[in-house]
Amino acid sequence: MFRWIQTSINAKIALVVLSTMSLVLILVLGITGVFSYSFVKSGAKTDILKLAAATASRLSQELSSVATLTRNLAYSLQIGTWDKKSVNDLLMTVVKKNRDVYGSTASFGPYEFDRQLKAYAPYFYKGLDGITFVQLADSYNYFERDWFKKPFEEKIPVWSPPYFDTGGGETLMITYSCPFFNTILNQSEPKVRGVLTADISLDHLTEMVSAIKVGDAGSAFLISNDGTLIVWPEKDLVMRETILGLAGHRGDNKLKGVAQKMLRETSGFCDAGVSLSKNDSFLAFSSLPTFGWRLGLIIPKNELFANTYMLEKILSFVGLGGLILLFTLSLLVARSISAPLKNMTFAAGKVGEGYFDIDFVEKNRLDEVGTLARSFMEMARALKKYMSDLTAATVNKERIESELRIASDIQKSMLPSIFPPFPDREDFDIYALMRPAREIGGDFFDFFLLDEDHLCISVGDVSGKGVPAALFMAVTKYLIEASTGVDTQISMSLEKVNSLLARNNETCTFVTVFLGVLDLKSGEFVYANAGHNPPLIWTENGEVQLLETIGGPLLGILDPANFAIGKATLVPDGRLLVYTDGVTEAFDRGGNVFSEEHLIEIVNRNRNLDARSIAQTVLKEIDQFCENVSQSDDITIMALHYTPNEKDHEKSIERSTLR
Amino acid sequence: MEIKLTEQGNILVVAVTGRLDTLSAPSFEKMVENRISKATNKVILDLKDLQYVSSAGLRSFLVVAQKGKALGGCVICCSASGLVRKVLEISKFCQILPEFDSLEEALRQNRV
Repeated sequence: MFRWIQTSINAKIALVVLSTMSLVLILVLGITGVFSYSFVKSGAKTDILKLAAATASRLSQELSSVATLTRNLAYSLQIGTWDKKSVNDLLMTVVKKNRDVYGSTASFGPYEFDRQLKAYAPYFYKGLDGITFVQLADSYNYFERDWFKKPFEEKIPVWSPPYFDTGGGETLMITYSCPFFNTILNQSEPKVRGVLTADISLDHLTEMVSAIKVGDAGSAFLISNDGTLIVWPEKDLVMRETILGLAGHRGDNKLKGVAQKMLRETSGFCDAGVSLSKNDSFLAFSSLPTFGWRLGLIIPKNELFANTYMLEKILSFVGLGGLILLFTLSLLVARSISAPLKNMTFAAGKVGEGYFDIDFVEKNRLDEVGTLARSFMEMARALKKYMSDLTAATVNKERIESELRIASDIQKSMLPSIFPPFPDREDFDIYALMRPAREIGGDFFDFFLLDEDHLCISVGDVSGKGVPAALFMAVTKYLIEASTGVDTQISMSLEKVNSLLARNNETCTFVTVFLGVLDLKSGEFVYANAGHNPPLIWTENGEVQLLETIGGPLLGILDPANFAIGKATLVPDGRLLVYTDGVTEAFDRGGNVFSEEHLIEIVNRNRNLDARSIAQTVLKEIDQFCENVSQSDDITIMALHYTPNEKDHEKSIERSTLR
Repeated sequence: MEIKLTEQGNILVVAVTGRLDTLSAPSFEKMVENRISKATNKVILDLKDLQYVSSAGLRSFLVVAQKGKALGGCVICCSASGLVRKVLEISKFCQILPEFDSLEEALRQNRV
């Protein structure tokens, strides 16, 4: 799973979308919940408190109407004459006609109704079989009852606390008792004649309370001012228990708090939890005027918050639906990106294998994926072209290289390569080397015997390098060979070669040539120089010095051109070193030239070496000097060592002197 | 190699600094050739600061000289010293590229 998330764009996007949206959803639900809860709660508090107050007041009013009725009846008993029958009729009518009145009695004080009769208290109540009559005087000593005694003695109407009327109504009730007076005796302080009562049964009170509508599932209860349960869901607790006592029995601290609050305050609102009903509820209470009782209204929270819960539920469903939709869409979008990416990854592998013909269906898309697809295809196309170009170029390059190799071999084969070249000649030794800067070069050297006694040597340097120079060099070399001879002056040879080279020389290529002929008998060296570096020669005393400079024009430019002839003598055991400017103008890393002076110094130091050793020592010195700087020009070194047979030599000298 | 081209009337003065060898000769050739025209067909190669000239360099002098000649003008050089002077001497290049000691002298010669 974790790996999937790490390696998949789909998973990443989906995860981000899902977690963000879940968070948002939770926040929205939470905030709506909290706000609507507190909103509903504060609204409910006001409403329910109002309802409690209104209901309490209405209940109180209904009870008061019974009281008013009682007072009016009491008043009517003060006027006129009342016999047994009319009193009974009055009481029966009251009970019969008033729904709220359970029973009613007109209880007379001692001997007040009849001088012979101490107690007289006819009582009518709604019995099980209709209106029932009881003479209370027969049942008990009503003078001592609370409902009689207090109003009789204090001359004021009172509500009795709830009580069970044994021997009377035989039920739980409350009684309003109103004294009536003997008005006929015109006394300043009227004498109480009796007490008229109206009972309201607790059952009826319960009905009245139960009739109070508190929402759909709400309920109401009533407690007295000392907390005695008057109307209570559990009927068997009524009048037997106080609310505090109940809390004590149950060990319900919540109920205890609620009870204390109800007894302390005249109205209020609180969270009753589950202490008053099975459901988590709020409680609003209000006291009943006159009675001081507390009417409690219980509202289940789930009813109160039904709309909130519904809202939350709807929001959750909508949110969840949105979440699923978003998740699906984000997966689709992610897939529309990642699928092409997968294709491209696969295609990249194919390209790596050399398969360049790639086509993506995404190329027509207008988004970044489309751009990527097009770029990818473009890249593959460019790669394909590049590869084919490269292949062609490689083939071409290989062809050129192989041709150059062959050309190089041909060039090498054109130069003398077997040393010593004249193993049977002891009167001279010659060694030469040519190292081109590239595969093939423009330098050349050559030597050949014109006859038994004349050795012709030539060293040349064509301007430029590479193939053009090599072609020119080949021509020059063979022209020189063809133009020299025992009977031909070397200056003439050079003039002839120059003419031939200058003809049709449109590229202005030229060649410097040093050409000389050594008389092997006398050591006489005749030479001509077409713009070439002056060679080094060993003098009589063994010193090395530059051969006397006789300059001449380069071959191939001016036609006609004239060349001077120089003459020198090679002493026995003397040497001659001919080279091209690739030697003196070799550069080191710092741009310093090898120089003529340095060359002379080195040759001087090694002047007694044989021809091969001298040439190779010089080359080695050049390499040391240049270190790893690549060779900038072709290097040619030719060393000639003259070692004549002493006798022959002397003879020859004599001959020439004679001549 | 560095090349400084200045025109004085119909004379193009080419001051070459550094080394003129196989590597730099082609660009020298191209730059000077581009500036030679019928109007500016006299060229003075100021070699005062040229430290080295290889055979490829000589060849490019030659190409420039021939181009100048073809356009009815001439190409001369001046102030060569050291190695460069030696090379010019050995090769008898002065037969193709007349040489003067200083730029002033070269300019004077050209105006005549």
